[in-house]
Amino acid sequence: MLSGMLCLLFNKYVKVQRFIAVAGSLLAFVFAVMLVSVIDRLDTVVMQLGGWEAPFGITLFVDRLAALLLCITALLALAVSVFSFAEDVLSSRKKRIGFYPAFLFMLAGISGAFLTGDLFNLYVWFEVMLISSFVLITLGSKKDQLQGGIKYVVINFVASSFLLLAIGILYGTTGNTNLAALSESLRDPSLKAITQLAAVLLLVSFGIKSALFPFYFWLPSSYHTPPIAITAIIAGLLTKVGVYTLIRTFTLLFPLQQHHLIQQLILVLSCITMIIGVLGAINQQDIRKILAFNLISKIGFMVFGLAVYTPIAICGAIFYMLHHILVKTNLFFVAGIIGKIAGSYEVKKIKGLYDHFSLLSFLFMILSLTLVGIPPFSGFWGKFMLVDAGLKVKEYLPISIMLVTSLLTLYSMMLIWKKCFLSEYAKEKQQLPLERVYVKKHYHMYLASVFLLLITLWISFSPTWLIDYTRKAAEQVLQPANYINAVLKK
Amino acid sequence: MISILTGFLFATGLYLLLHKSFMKLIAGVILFGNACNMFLLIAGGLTRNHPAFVSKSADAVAVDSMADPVPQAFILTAIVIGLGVQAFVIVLLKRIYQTSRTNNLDELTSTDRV
Amino acid sequence: MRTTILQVTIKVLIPVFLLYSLYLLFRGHDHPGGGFIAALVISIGLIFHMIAFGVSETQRVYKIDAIKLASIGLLLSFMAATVPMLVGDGFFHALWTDVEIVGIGTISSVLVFDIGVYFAVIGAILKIAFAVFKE
Repeated sequence: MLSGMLCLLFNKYVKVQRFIAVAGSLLAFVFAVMLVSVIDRLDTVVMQLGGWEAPFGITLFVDRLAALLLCITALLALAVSVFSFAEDVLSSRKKRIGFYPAFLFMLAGISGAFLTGDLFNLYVWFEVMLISSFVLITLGSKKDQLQGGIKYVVINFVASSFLLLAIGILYGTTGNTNLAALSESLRDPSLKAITQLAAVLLLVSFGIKSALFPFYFWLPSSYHTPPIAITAIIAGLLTKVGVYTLIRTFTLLFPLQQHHLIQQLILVLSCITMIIGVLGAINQQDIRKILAFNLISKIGFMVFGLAVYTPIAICGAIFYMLHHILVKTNLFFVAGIIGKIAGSYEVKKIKGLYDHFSLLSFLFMILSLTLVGIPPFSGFWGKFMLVDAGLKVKEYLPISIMLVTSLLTLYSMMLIWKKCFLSEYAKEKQQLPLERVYVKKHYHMYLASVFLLLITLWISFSPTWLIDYTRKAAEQVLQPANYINAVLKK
Repeated sequence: MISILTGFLFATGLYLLLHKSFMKLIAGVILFGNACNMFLLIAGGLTRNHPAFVSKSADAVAVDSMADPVPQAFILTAIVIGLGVQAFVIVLLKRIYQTSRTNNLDELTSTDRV
Repeated sequence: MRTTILQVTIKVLIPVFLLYSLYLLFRGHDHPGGGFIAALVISIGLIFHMIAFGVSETQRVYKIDAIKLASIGLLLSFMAATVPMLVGDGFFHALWTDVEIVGIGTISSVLVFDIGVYFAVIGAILKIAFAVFKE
């Protein structure tokens, strides 16, 4: 029965029809919620594809972490499909060419990557996800899109090749690609050298995908080019898949307490990522680029949680990841609405939104505060756990970097706020439409945005349940033995 | 021998990937992908003259005289995926050429400006 | 490149390509071959046709909707993967019937999957080829 649920989660994605998108994501969401509650009772669900037993066949594996992420993926899919209904977000031509099929394929790829318990299968899901995201990014063939797209394609191709190399090395030394079996055989200290080689290759590969410090440059140059609905889903989810796989590999395959060098490396990288990202954000003039750079610095936060490697830190990282997926996607939605109203994404050109669009201003304000982590909102809880964990292991320098980064993020968001919303609307002759009329005309966009905001607020004001769940997820992730036992049925 | 060839493929692929010209980028993508596949083959252990097939009549098969089928399956999958990526890159570069009229990657900077 | 020699040769050769690709498709399970390689063979034939006659001519003669073909193929493959689940086995579990046809072998869900792959790959490759050749 459980396996049946899992499979449905898979299949209904791959219907190449136009408006199945909403129904599909709704169904996926329902199943994912059921999965979350089932996991709450059973801890893990394992399923073997093709009837082959564990180390040989392909395994699907769900624990709390994967279930939560699946759930949020489906949620976002729902919001984005609603958002994309709005006129002019995507031209009807683009819809016809294949936005929905590519979109659903990408979601299938993402869910597959969360579900799989096999390294090579992970590679396949990555490729499914990447190729459809290539299509999405270049859909419509505008000049900017193509130019940003080529960088994205080439860098991700190289990243996947690195993953393939790591798989080759691991398979060559252990004869396995099943994560659980690998985890067991990699304990062997005689394999230390080769393990570290593979670990670094994987770090590079997933680092590129999640836009960690030395590999981040492709992100701002490609993420702001496609239509905003696509940017929103890609920015919200793709890099998080990278972070998820980083967490998975470095808890299961290469537990960081045995690899201090790599732990230090990840810690340093995460700090530099935070600071570089936010500095880039301050420097930019395009709202979408500011958001993209902020995204990079937040990736640093999550990876920091992994590097600290205590239950509370991982818990913070997971919580922060969930919160950030919601908030970032929603911010891109709001940016899309702003761009729609003002006809431009340049901060300098947009003026006086507050006077006419109070609902939009409210949305933007709440979201910025949440992103930065002002106390009652959800960003605060994640950040609080991260700082707390960092203090316990006495990593004072990264924590101060983190706090400074938060302040700078606040600064960059307030810059948008001040310039776009609060400034006087100078040119009277070009009257902006009334918000009420506008909302009626584009209610899909507002609907999606408000829907996500409500969920964010719900997380913000009653975080106990979610924190509890993520804490259990973190403890589970830090006990690879459970994973191995569940998969190999010992 | 094949190891050296693979190393050579990697080096050439990387060199071409870092080149400015579109054509060389495509060649680089193809070579790099193939180098990875060759690497998988070598890493999985290479045996000569022993295909990974079991004849229907034989009851028991000597396992050590058989090539390991798993890396071959990996490579097959990787080739299929590589085909998709390569085709996509070719179409993409053609479109870029049509819109920007240039054959130089260094000129594609319109998205990086502040 | 519209030379008469190529055009005539291709017209003769296309059925051969088709036959050989079907042969590869059906021997796929027990011998080297299978959906992917068979689809490549027939695509090569069609691409030559495009070179010889031009894209619009190929599309007119064969009336192929690449996307539709690809989606049919994907649906078939996924049916092959899910139907065993309804019967009670795992996802992707191979089902075998006892029907044996000369030249094809035993009918099974694996064969259905392979045919699905065949259509999907033809569709995808032709879509890309149309995009590349179209000016």
